[in-house]
Amino acid sequence: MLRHRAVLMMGVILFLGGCSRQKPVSRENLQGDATKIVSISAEAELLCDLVVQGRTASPYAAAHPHYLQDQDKEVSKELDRAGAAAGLESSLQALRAAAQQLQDTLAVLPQNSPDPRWSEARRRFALIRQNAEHVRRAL
Amino acid sequence: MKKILGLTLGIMTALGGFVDLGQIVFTMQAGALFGYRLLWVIVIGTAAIIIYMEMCGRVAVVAQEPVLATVRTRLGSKLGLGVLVASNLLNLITCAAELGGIGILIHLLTGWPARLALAAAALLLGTIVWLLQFDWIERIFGLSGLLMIAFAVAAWKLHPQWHAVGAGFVPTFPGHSRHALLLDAYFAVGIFSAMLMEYEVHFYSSGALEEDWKVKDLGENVAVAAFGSALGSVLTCALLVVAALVFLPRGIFPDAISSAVLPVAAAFGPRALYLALFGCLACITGAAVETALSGAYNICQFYNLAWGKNLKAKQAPVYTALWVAMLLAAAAIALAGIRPLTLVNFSIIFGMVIMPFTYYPILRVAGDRNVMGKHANGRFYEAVGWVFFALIAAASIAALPLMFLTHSGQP
Repeated sequence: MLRHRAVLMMGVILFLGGCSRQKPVSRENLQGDATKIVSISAEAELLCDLVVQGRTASPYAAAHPHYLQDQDKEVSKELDRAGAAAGLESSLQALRAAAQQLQDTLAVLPQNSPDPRWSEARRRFALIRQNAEHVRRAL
Repeated sequence: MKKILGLTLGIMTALGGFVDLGQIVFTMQAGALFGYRLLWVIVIGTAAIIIYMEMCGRVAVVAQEPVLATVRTRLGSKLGLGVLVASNLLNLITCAAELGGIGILIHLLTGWPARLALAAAALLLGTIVWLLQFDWIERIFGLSGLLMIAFAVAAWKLHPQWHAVGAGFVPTFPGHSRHALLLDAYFAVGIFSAMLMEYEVHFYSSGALEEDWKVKDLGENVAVAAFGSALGSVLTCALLVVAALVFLPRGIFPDAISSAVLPVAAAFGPRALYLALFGCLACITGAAVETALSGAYNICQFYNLAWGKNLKAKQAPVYTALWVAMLLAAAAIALAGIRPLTLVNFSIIFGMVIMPFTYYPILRVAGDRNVMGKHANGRFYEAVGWVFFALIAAASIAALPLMFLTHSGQP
């Protein structure tokens, strides 16, 4: 009986270990994640532009970044779960950092439309996008 | 005036049917990835839905048989039951996705928390559907969906290169990588599927019977199916064009309903943004109502129970309980926090898989002279119907492999 339990416990430990181990990420997957980061930052740039030009409504400008954050969280999760295959470590690290910067910048966007912080945020989004584009090109 | 109001069934069916959450985001993603290149799919989808919607209306009027009754008689009770279960699961999932979309749109319009907005909207929607007769439901949701014209005007205002737009109506072979080719095919199948979602014809044929159309109204049936679908088609083209103009050059892949209205804001500013948000809200709400009611229509028609929005709840208790249950279950799924787009992607692709089982019986009955008499399909019309059925069958076979190979359309 005890032996059966020990075997069962071993099985559970091995299974959990297998689940928690990071999957090695492929070049294509990283390119896909870089594309998503480029897309989300480009959309955030567009939103900032429209807010600065007075082309959006306040509730929309306050709410839309939440949905961009949700998308970015999904990318972050994928990148966190991924383990680096040989030669892809620096790209993975760079994309993780970009996803985190994106998250941070989206989280502190102002609630009101006429605010100089929108222009500052736009510059940061552009930088994040350029970095992600650079990583994607290098892959 | 009565004739014009009669068109609202077609408008609501088409706007709530193929300009719903899935179609809005799917089409914009296609525009953002491929520019105008998939416009031809919208034309083919429009022709297919006009023909099949017209057939459904004609069968309903002449044979007094709504779609699910036709499915049962033509496919037999076992296969028919399978189609009923699959169709209603898709209705439930689609309704949940649309309710989730409603919550998001109210959040964008007011700043209220999306889940609270979703719960309030589901209650309000249930009350409206409970209180109103069928013709008022179609008028309210059909006509308010016309606010989506904001997208068409934005497309014009953003000055597309019209010759490039025109070129998009001619199919071209995408000469890129294997992944790009598969993505192209995935979005072509997705757009086609979203335009032909089963609940549209369930709702339309039930609506024809709710409105008590007679044989003399068959001309109106053609006009309603053609006008409603053509309008939906123009708006779908507009969604693709604005996405190609605003998202494609910036490398944006819109992956939320909140992104869909950005091109309108870019073209016109905040007032038009509100119009676009309200237009999306109307279409998505229309789709939620269509799917909830279709679920109830399907079961009652399959089992020959009393049904109809124009009957009092006591006269059609099962029907009433079913659409209320459908709405509540969908709200519960949406409140569980599953992303509406995840649900809608699933419903579009799996909807495509079971689509032949809905459209085949319709085609057979509409061409059957024993049932339809002189109103049966003519030879040419029958042939065209079979051509479109072949396309539906091909897309149905390709849908699942394409979903797996492209990771649900990820660029």
